[in-house]
Amino acid sequence: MILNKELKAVLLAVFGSNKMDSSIFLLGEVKSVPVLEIQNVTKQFKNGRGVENISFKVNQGEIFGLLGPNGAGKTTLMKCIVALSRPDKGTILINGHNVMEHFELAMKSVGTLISGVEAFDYLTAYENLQLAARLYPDLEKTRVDEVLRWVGMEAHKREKVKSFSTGMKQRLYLAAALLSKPSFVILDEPTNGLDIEGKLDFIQLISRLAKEEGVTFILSTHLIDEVERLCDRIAILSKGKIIGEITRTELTENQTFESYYIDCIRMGKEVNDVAELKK
Amino acid sequence: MQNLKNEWIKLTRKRSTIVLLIITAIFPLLAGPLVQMLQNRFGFTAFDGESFPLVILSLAITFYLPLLLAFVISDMFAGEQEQKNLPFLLVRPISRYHLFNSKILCTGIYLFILLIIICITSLITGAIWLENFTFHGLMLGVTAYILSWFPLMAIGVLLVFLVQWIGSSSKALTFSILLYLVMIVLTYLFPTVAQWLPAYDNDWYQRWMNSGFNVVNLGRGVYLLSWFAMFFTLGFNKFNQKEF
Repeated sequence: MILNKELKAVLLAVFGSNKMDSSIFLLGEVKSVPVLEIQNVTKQFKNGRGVENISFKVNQGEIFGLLGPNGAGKTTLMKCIVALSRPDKGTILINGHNVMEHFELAMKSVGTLISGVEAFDYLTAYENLQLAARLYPDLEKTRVDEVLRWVGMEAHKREKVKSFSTGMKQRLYLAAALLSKPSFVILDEPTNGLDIEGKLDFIQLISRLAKEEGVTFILSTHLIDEVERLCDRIAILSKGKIIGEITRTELTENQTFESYYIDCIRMGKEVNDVAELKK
Repeated sequence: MQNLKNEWIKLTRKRSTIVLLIITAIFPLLAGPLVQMLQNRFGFTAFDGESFPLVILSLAITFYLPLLLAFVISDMFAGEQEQKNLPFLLVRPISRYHLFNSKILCTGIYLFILLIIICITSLITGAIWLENFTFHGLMLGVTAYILSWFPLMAIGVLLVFLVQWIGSSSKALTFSILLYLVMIVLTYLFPTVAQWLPAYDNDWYQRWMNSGFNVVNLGRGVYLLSWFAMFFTLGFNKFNQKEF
């Protein structure tokens, strides 16, 4: 069915842009648009690392896991999604908005935690979150305290970040990711540096937000237990390429995400070995 | 301009910024009694209340303020990149143009405040310690300090553009200082070449005060504005292409 531009304009005027973020109105039906759509994204570095021809979609309400060994290209892809890195080719759409062309619009309802990004260590936890909060004009003043409470950092809010352990910093970054009441959250290696209690708290928080508030997550990790507990669907990234994709319902009785991951990695290795031999 | 407040908070929460602001305020206050003591001791009058703020400005604009400017700019761009802080705000719904713009604006405000602090303290010192402090001298001083903001900002945007290539604040600061020294040396050794550089306009306020509103000063103003626009654009272009 062809999109009626005039009707869309009228609906936009009536419902406002926020209501249009995750669905495009078609004549006679409402069709859900993927929250994240990655189309043929390639990003290559001079050292040969990067990602090649990546395509996948993340639908509303899903917890999507991007799984892969260290150096598979997970962080590169995550950085491309939030425009910290520019893809060599391909398109990334968040809620239908091209990230490279309409960055502000695309990131309006997105929360991010990217591995390697640091908070300002000469400021307190509270001040760091306030810096971020100022960039979301509609946010309530109490929101900073609320997210600090969620991640168990309320008692440390007046302490400078330079005195924090890696785990405390990671909790703060998670709070920063959830600050804007996002409908879509991008988490890159979110449990790095967290202790067992921290990891359990994290899993509970993500599950609650997904179930109760319908928040969509993309989670990049190399830790299978997080994926096993949280994700509805996973994609396996190895040496910059997607080598497998499966939903929880598609798993057979004896299969887990872990066994699927191991099969994919082994198969990918075997394919590479054959290719090497052929050379 | 929601990020301007962020940049200002980041700048003023640093201990170095506060220390430098205090030094900026103290220097003219100490220089006044020292000059008076020396003048009394040797029995001559080199500076009076009217010329003292301009002497302080001449020193500040040639050495002190460009150094502070280089310090702030190195930290704001190369420093934040080095510490991996820049992406903390870049992943929010703010365009790189607005972020870059707010950093430049914050630098401009900081520079203006530094100039005002030196202006006020040198005027106070001139009024208290030195003879011949007049209303004419006060107005002259205030005008000179305000006019000096323009050539300093032109140097500032050049530094902003150049530090985009450097990934460490200490290297960026060293490079900026060396570059500024080269510009100053060129001003004395090759005045015709130096005319193309903004450091040539360190005494811009003197030219305005000597000859007032004329075609030459106006032309030089347009040149500084063009310089600012060119390096702002080039600096933003490089900043926009950066990957983190």
